Formats: sequence, structure tokens, C-alpha cells
Amino acid sequence: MEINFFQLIFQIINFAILFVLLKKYLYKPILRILEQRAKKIHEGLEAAEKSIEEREKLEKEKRKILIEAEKNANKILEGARIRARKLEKQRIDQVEKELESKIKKAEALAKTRTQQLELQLKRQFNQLVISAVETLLKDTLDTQEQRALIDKQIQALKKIKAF
Amino acid sequence: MPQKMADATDQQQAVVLTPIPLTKNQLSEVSQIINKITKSRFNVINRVDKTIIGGMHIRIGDRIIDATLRNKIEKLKEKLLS
Repeated sequence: MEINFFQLIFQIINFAILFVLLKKYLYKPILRILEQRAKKIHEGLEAAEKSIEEREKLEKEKRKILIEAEKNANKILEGARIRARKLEKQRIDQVEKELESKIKKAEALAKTRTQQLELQLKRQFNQLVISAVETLLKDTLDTQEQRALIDKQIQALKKIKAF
Repeated sequence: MPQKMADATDQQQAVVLTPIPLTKNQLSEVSQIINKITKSRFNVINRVDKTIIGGMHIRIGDRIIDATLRNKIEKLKEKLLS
């Protein structure tokens, strides 16, 4: 087999020219495009990651705010409950004091009434006793007893020295 | 019991109220006592008044000796009802 050097050189030159041309007009642009695409994809991925991070950050922030808001709301509720309980206790204390005062007044009034009634009864009883004594004396003192009483009075009169 | 004063020209009068009439002795004794304590002479009149209940009520002019049971009961009443 005989090697055609001229053809070989021509092929090599051909190949070289083709290689150079391809490299300049095909490979480099395509590579550039591919690189750009890769870059875009990479940037896109980065942006997506950043976005995810951002969203997570916001979510955290949101949860934090919600927890804070819940805490504050609970604080306010608790404060309101405490105030309500305090007011209720004050109201109860006031009512109890008023009731106690009314009871004391009623007791004092009852005591006064009782004392008045007791006094009234005592007077009525004494009145009855005196009336009974009067009637008894009127009806039971006979003439002899009357004379004896008069004699006694006369003896007492004798002791008077001057008038 | 209100009594009018005796006429000045007549003997002064003393009225003795009793629930029953005084005996003569009793009237005499009362007269003597009245004359003694007033150092005067009085005409003692006895009147019956059952309302005095017992004892004597003597009026000598405007002076009174109330030794009646009625008076004692009244005093007791005052004390008990005060």
C-alpha cells in the first residue's frame, strides 16, 4: 500500500482548517451559549435558594410575631381577668358591708323595741298590781281595821311638834 | 280636796276626811293634836270619804296632812311607773 502524502497533507490541512473554523464559528459560540445557560441556571438556582431562605426567614418572623401577639393577648386577657376578679371582690365586700350594717341597724332597732316593750309591759304590770292593791284594800279593809289604821295615824300625829 | 277658808270671825275650821266616821275619842284626840301643833283653836269637822281608802286626810286652812292609803298608793305608783 502506498501512502499518498499529498492527500494526507491535504487532509490534515483540511482537518486543521475545519477544526479552526469549527472552533471559531461553532464550538466557541455554542460553548458560550452553554456557559451562559449554565450561568443562568446557576443564578436561577441561587435565586430560588435565596427566595426559599427569604421565605423561611419571613415564616420565622411571622411565627415570632404571632407568638408575641399571642403572649400580649394573653397578658391583656389575664390583666382583664384580674381586674374583673378585683372588681367582683370589691363589689362583694361592699355588699357584705352594707348587709352587715343593715343587720346591725335591725338588731339595734329590735333591741330598742324590745326594751321599749319590756318597759311598757313592766308599767302595765305595775299598773295592774297597783289597781289590784287598791281594789283589794277598798274591798277587804273592814271597820275594825280602818279604826286601827286611824288610831295608828293619830299616834303618828302626836309626834308632830309644830306645823 | 279644795276647801274654802273659814270665816275670820268664826273659829277656824279643820276638816278631817276618813273612810269611816271617827269615834268621839278619835275626834277628840285629833282636835287636841291639831290645836297643839297649830297653837290655835280649831273647829274640827269629820267628813267621810271612801275614796281615800284608809287613813286620814287633814286640812288645816291651806295646810294639809295627807296620811291616807290613797296617797301612799299614788306615791308607790309614781315610783313604779317612772
